[in-house]
Amino acid sequence: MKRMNQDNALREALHRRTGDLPYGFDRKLMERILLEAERKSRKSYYRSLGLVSAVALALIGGAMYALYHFFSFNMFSFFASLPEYLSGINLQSGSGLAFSFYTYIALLVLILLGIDNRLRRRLKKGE
Amino acid sequence: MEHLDEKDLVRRILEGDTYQFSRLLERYQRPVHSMIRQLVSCREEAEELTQDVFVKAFQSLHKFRGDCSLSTWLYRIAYNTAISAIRKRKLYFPDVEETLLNNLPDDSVDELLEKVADEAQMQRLEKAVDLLPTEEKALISLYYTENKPVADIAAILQISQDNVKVKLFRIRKKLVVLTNNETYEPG
Repeated sequence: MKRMNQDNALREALHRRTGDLPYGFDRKLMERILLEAERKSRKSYYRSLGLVSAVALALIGGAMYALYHFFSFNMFSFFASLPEYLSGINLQSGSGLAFSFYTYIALLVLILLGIDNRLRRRLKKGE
Repeated sequence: MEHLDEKDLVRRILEGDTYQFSRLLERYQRPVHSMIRQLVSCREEAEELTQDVFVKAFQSLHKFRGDCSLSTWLYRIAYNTAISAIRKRKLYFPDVEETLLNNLPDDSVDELLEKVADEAQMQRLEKAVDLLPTEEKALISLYYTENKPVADIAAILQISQDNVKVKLFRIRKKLVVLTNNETYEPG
């Protein structure tokens, strides 16, 4: 290998064969990389969305199957009687008060989740 | 500028800090382009392939395990990318007879490759490099231009270290034959 380290003519010949990169090459390449990163994140978003939807559908399907077969619960008659049931709810009665309380909690949770999401985004931007 | 070692750099890019990739470009775009340029004679094609190498590297960065250096990993991608681009074309590389290589004295090889001679001789040497098959061009480029150790070259070209050494000796002799005999023509 000692011999090879002295191959200056070959080194020079190889050096002459390589040219410089054009001006702005790294900027153009970085643009391609950023586009690729965007495509990658979009792909992963749609993949997780698909996964979550599939899991949710499977859970709903499982729940419907279980309700129908094990509890003899008829979904169609339930939805048909729903308007009648809802009109019978008296907000002044005990169950009506419970309903307003649950609605209040649900809205509170939604607002807090929204604030949390906003703060996280702002923090990520600031990094 | 904040100094990051390779593993940290890769980790940050994988965590979503895509702009860190520009540091990787800064370090490796020239050496990768230089190797590809040796394998592909067209300047525009070499630039296009260099871009492809880095896009491929970005796409498969999660596969980088750190069992070799990042530069070795990038050179391997570069070599494979160039090989697949070249394979699409039917190229002819002249065969040099084994007896010719075996009978060539070491001194004549040293004499030609060591001293930077006149312009005509240098041009003949450049043409001779052009006549080498792609793997041999990659090998001498990594050894002489990128100053890569034999172990790294073996990892990049996926051959044994002994094979790298044997090939290097053979290529030197082949270059002398090709330089001195102008009947060999590029395909």
